[in-house]
Amino acid sequence: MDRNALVPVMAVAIVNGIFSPWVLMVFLFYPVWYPAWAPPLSQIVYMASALILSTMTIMLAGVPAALYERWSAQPRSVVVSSIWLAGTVLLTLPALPNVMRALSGG
Amino acid sequence: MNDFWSYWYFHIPNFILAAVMYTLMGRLLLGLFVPESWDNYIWRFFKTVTDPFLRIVRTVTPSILTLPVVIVFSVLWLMTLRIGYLVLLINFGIAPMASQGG
Repeated sequence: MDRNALVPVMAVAIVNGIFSPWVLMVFLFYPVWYPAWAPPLSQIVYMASALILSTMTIMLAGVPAALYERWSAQPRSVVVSSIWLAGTVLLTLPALPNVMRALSGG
Repeated sequence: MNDFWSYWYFHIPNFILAAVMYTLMGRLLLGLFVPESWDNYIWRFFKTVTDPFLRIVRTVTPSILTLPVVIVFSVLWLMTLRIGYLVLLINFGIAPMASQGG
């Protein structure tokens, strides 16, 4: 698989990390994952929440791609990257209303 | 009976998952400074504890991603597992509650 194929996956995952409604859930769970010694500033916690959500998007979307890669007799890299990108886009769908709202400036 | 044994079904799995999670973080951090084939007993301990879990995560991670990324993903999977287990117990109404102490 070509490393450049990761670029669109990461780009979509970043958008999901910023605009997904799930970022609020990650944010609310911050006492579980945020270190007690770190400064409890909401901006930093929000940024870390977005980062966690982006990484989890890449991670979850990569599961079907990895399983195809393992189980297929002759896996094709273009199929692997397409499955991965499709999974990432699918996970980003709930973020679309927020993206539209941000683009329209409202 | 103290709180730990009253809620052993939460604390023991949570403790094991947390231990693996923090060992993975330790391996990631130490891995920045030492070679993968280092023959130190601490490094070997980190690898022994984390390798079984890394093998599972490797199966569900595309092969293009390198070992440090798989370690980060493993930490996130474990965090998800721990939170998911807590949410499951809350849904069943058998999760440990925070007490006021005293």
